[in-house]
Amino acid sequence: MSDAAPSPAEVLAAAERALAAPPTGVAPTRPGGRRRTSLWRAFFRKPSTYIYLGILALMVLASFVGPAFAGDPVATAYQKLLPPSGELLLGTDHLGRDYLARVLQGGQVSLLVGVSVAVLCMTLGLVIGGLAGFFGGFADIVLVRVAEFFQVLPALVLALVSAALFGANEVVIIVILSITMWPAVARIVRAESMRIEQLGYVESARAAGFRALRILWSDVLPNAMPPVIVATTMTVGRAILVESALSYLGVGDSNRPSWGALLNSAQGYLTTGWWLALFPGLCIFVVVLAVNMLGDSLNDSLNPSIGKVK
Amino acid sequence: MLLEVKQATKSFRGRRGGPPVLAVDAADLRASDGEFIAIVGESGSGKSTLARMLLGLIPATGGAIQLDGVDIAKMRGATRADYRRRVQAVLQDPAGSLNPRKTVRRCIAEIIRLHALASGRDAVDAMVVDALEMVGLSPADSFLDRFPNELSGGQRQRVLIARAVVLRPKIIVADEAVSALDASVKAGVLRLMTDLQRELGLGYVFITHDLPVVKKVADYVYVMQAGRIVEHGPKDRIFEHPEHPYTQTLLAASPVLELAD
Amino acid sequence: MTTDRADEQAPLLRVEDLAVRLPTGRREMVDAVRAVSLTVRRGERVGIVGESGSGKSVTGRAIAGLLPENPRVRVTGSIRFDGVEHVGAPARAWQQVRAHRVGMIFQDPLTFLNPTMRVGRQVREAIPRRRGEPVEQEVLRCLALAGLTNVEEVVLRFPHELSGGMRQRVLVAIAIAKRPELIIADEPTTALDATVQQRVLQTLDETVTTLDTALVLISHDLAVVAGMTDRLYVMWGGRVVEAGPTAEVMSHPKHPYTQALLRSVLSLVDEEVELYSIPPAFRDWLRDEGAAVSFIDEAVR
Repeated sequence: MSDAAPSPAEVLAAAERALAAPPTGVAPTRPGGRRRTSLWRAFFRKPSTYIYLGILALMVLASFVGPAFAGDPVATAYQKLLPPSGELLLGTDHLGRDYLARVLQGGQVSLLVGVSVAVLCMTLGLVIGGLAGFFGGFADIVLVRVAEFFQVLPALVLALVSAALFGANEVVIIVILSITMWPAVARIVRAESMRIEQLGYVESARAAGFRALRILWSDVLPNAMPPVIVATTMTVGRAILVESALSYLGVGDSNRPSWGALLNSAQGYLTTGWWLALFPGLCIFVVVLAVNMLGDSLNDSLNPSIGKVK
Repeated sequence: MLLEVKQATKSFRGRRGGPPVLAVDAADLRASDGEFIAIVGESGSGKSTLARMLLGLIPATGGAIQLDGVDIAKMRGATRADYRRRVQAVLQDPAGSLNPRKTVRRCIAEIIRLHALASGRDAVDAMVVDALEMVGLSPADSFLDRFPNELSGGQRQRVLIARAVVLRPKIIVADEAVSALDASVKAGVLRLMTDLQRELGLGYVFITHDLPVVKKVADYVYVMQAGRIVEHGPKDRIFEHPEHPYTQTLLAASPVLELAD
Repeated sequence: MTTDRADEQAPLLRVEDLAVRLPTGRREMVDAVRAVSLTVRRGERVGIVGESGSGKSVTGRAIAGLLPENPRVRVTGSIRFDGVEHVGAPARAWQQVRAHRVGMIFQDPLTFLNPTMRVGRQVREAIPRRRGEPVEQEVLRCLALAGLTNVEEVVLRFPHELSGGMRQRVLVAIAIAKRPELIIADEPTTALDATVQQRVLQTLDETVTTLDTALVLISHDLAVVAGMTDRLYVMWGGRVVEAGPTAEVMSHPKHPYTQALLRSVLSLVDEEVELYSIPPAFRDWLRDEGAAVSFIDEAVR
């Protein structure tokens, strides 16, 4: 009573032959040769990776190399509040300065602060969060308190005081922002480390005889990365924006304003000089977007499980 | 080689104000290479805790665990590394015992490197391939660069076994190593385990709640209830003439496939 | 047992040529279910047995209308519940049926029970509002029917405070709370100890008998399915390769896969026989030709 063409006898005969093969080993799930692509290589094969990296590279180039070809950002050489035109691509600001030159220069501080703070936060967060979450106990209690302390520090007050003591430059800003923003990342790392520490492969690693720090580095932190990458990319944006608040308060070099500082100055001229807010804002937006997309893309690439159904 | 548990006890702090919890209570056990020992019991019987004590993952609060007469709690440095080599673990997958971000090759290679069994990419790879072939993952080449999520449950279990076997241990402690597998895959992995017992002179300490499997492959059985070993003996004796009431209950409650042919 | 009723009325559930395609990545799709047909009559117990990846769970979820809500999921074929076609019907139709007429019991109680809600409340929420009598009584009754003792106490507990077996019984209670006409149980005891499994299965058996509910029991464990079902469907690779009365299929399997599976299962319990696992060459054959052939007992249709 079979539904298909071959007769039951034929089916059984075919099955007999197949069954006669000795049961040796297991076949791989997917036929095919050895797959050599490492996950990183897959990331660098994606076209989108290069688009985002390209955008960021462009911004960096424009900010650090561009000013050499643009005008003088400080000289008040032109008429005030000139809208963008063929000659002055981004117009002039309220003091008659070449806005293109200012915006290009503005990237230097913003990018520097954004990237440095993000990197420092990620590093500090991974170390402290990882140690706290993985080891638990006394270390956890102490480190959590430390993180809380730094998190409640008022960044703005601290910045003002530091500026008074050490001068108002980017290094001060980077340091202050880093020490107040790392706890957020550490919190994520700690939660992930605590979760992963319970998993089977960590126990297996212990049973195999690997030392605790080695397990933290090799098994726990790599698996904790996805939310960390997201948090780090978001830190770039946050750092840029907090920096603008700091420069509003006067912490920052007025001769080398950041995009954020430019944005601040543009506040009074929203109707009379729309370009004053638009261009630095657009730059911040593009950088933050590119960094976030890159982070997402990286997360997807480095994750071996492609949402398998069963 | 003899792995002995002498009156081992493990107590955990109880909840606030409560008495301490005795996960393992004065357990005595002997395991040696070449022998297939099973520890059976229900959830909460303490069998998994005892297994982890055997692996040195949980320190005993009382009693001792000795390898050839030496207390494992006192082992340091080279002797401890040697202990780890001789007593390996295969813990239950599903999808948890292998780091999802490490390829099969890396999983096994790092063990080889940790115990300095080989050095240099080629020598290490050769050992990895050898281990994979031994557990039936053939052709080994096609498995090297795979991630755990690209393997079936049975294949992952075999990788775990390969990882344990590559060091040529004397005893493997397996905690529910086959419970989550389909019948055919389970039979395959069990067959592998018994084959390795024969070929490499491996001993097993097999922790499970699955009695039919124990009846099929074990030589000696320990029965645990609420942290205590209530009965132990050769497999046949335990299944045919269980003495302790708990053992009898356990055997009676076990599902049996009855077939008319 | 159910032959009289079988002649009376149309089947409660009729599935014909069901096929389900699921996305497995950005671009790839997999045919989880290829061409499954099955029938369940009122009060009947039907088992679906197969290994991981056979498509049995996806079939169960398709019947329950619980496939992922991804637009890329494609379902073709026909699923008729009490005569009403569900494939292609709006989600609301499924939801109505699920709310009142179909109960589900899944494998892992920890995942399917809300950890922050007391057990009693979770059962209560499963009871449709139109019930006349006080709801609290009904909750206690369901829990008792599911085999729990000390129900007044259990009602106040959170899931993590109960043992695995008790949690599974809570899932059973939730499933029967709505007095369903059909219960779909997908690996209901796989996560439990062997000893507890037996007891929970027994409870499920008694409950289904008492309520005269139809049952679709899905499992990879032949022993579980053999003891509790009247008819059996054996699945491999998204297809039904054999179907018929359980006793018949178990004692006289016709499809080579069923025979191999039985041989494997038996090798695990019979001490005289060598452990047998289905060889890769056989699986290749199944993939290439074997699964396309099926041995379906005509009486089923």
